[in-house]
Amino acid sequence: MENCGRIVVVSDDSELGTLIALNLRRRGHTVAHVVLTQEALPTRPPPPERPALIVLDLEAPEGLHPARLRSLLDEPWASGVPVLVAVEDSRRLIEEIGPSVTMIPRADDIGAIVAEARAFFASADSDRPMV
Amino acid sequence: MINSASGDDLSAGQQRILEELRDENLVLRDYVQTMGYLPLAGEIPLDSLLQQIVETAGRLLKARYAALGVFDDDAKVARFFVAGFDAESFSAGLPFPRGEGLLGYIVKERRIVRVARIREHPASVGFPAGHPTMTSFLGGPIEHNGVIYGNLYLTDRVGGTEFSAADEELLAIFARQSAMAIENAKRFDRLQVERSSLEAIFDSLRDAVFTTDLDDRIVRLNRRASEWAGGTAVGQTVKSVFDLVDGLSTPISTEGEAVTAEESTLVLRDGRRIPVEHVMSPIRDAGGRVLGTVQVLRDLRPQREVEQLKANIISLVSHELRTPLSHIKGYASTMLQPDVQWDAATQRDFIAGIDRQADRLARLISDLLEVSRLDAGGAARLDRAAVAPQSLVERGIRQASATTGDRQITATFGPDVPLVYADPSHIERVLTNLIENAAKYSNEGQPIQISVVADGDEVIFAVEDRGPGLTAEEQSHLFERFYRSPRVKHRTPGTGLGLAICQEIIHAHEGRIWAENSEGRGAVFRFSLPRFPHL
Repeated sequence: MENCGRIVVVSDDSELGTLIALNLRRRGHTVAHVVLTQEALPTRPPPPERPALIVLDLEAPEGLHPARLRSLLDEPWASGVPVLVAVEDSRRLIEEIGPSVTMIPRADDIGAIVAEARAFFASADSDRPMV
Repeated sequence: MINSASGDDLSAGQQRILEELRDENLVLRDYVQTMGYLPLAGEIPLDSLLQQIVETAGRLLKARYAALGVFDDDAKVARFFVAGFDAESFSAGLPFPRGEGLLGYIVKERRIVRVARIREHPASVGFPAGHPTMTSFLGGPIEHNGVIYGNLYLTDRVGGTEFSAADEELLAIFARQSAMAIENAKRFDRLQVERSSLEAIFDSLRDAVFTTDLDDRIVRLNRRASEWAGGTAVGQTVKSVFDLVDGLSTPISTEGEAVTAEESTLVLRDGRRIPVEHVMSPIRDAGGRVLGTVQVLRDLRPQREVEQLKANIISLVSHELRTPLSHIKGYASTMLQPDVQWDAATQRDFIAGIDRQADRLARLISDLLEVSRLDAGGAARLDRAAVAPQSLVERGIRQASATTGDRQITATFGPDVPLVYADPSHIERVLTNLIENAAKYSNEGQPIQISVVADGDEVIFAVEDRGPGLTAEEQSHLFERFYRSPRVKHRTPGTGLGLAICQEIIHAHEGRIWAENSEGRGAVFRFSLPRFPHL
């Protein structure tokens, strides 16, 4: 049976983030959605429980200051949680936020995000760092 | 044995001969002096030289009157310089030779003419009214290397005698020397003009240009180079004046090939860093020996700005194209997931999302095409007619309804608002853009107010929102193509083309468009259109 852990979707596009969250919920995950904006982090209250995985979906990473993203990922609920990055060009982002991430190259493919999340939770040890 | 004698011991005849010899001596001294400097007279202004020539000719040849007719490019007398005449009466009354009398004869014949009595020469046509009476005449061309610069005319040899063969010979020599001097002076004038043009070009260059000697010392520099040097530079070494990182170093190779350092940085004294291309070329003498360098520090900032703008535009457009595609792909791939079934209502939501994003994509492409059309002069092909502002506003509101949703939009019209002279489809686009803009930059539920009033020959349209208003920086750039406010560019989609298109359309209608903060809260965009009939 699939392990359906808690996921937080962090997205700079409300509509796409909602769609990703909807897909993951239909697979049985408990999903919270955080909309990431330039001005305020986050725009919604952080999830009350620490997730097993953060899905980071950025449509315009160039518009987001890395320090803001770093501060988000350093928050208690997010610190140390593996991050699955769905960004077109994630090199700069990975340099900024550290190595404990895995990249999904097809940022516009929700199916790929769902498959990666499934693979993550299917692994025997969900605490293993993803590089 | 030579006896010296005082003036008292000489007879009257001997006294006269002695005076004549003294006069001759003075004339010869004058001649030698004049001949000495005339050919080198390059630095004398041309007009002063011409006046000196005519005065010297009069003195040398003992003419009571002397005139110099200077030719224009068509070998016609364009100006006269005179000696012996009352200058004011000359300039007021005496006409230029018309080529009919003796002077014209010399112009045509291009040779020296010497006559004892002017009136007896076959070419003579007499003197015009008010002209001094003249008898003897000596005249000829000022010529060198086949080029005639003008004619010298000398009349009334002092003492009542006619001009001699020796005078004629002297005139020939003097005229030749004068021609050389005039040639030099003209050449000097041309050089001065060229030099002044080159200096103007040199100084107007945006790039810093300077020359050096072989010891790397600066010899000359243009205005920009002086500005960047920030102090005294002539005589200083290049290194001590310009702090160049990765620039070229002197001395230049003896082969003297031009060299370029494409990526250098000039650090100014105030700490500013300017990206430059450093080009160094040799200056050679006629024998090919390198004498120094001319160096150019080409300011790369404008090029970098263009490159940055291009990169920003590509990034912006690709992002704006990619985002709706991501949504469309997201909705479509979600619906196609084999392991999940979606109910009809959810499927409808997904399809509505696809529809919305497809509209966004179409709008973007339409904006890009519109900009391209406007660049190609499309605005000049407006289909203008008399239109009621009410119908334009109604159509604009209807077109923007997909963006504005349930938001309250009110429109008010001043008393007696006249028809406007406009292309309805273009103005509808302007109004739609402004209404959508107002919706985009204000919170949901906040109203949008449209008003139209007559103002003289114009009708003013205004679209007002209750958003955060405009900063000074935004107000100064709003209508530039691809401008996106830093406050909103990462959270609100857009290409920065909408307002630029509005401006081009309104300008094509001979109208004005501007934006300001409204008196309450928010921003108000206004534009004017000419009322109908349009004069």
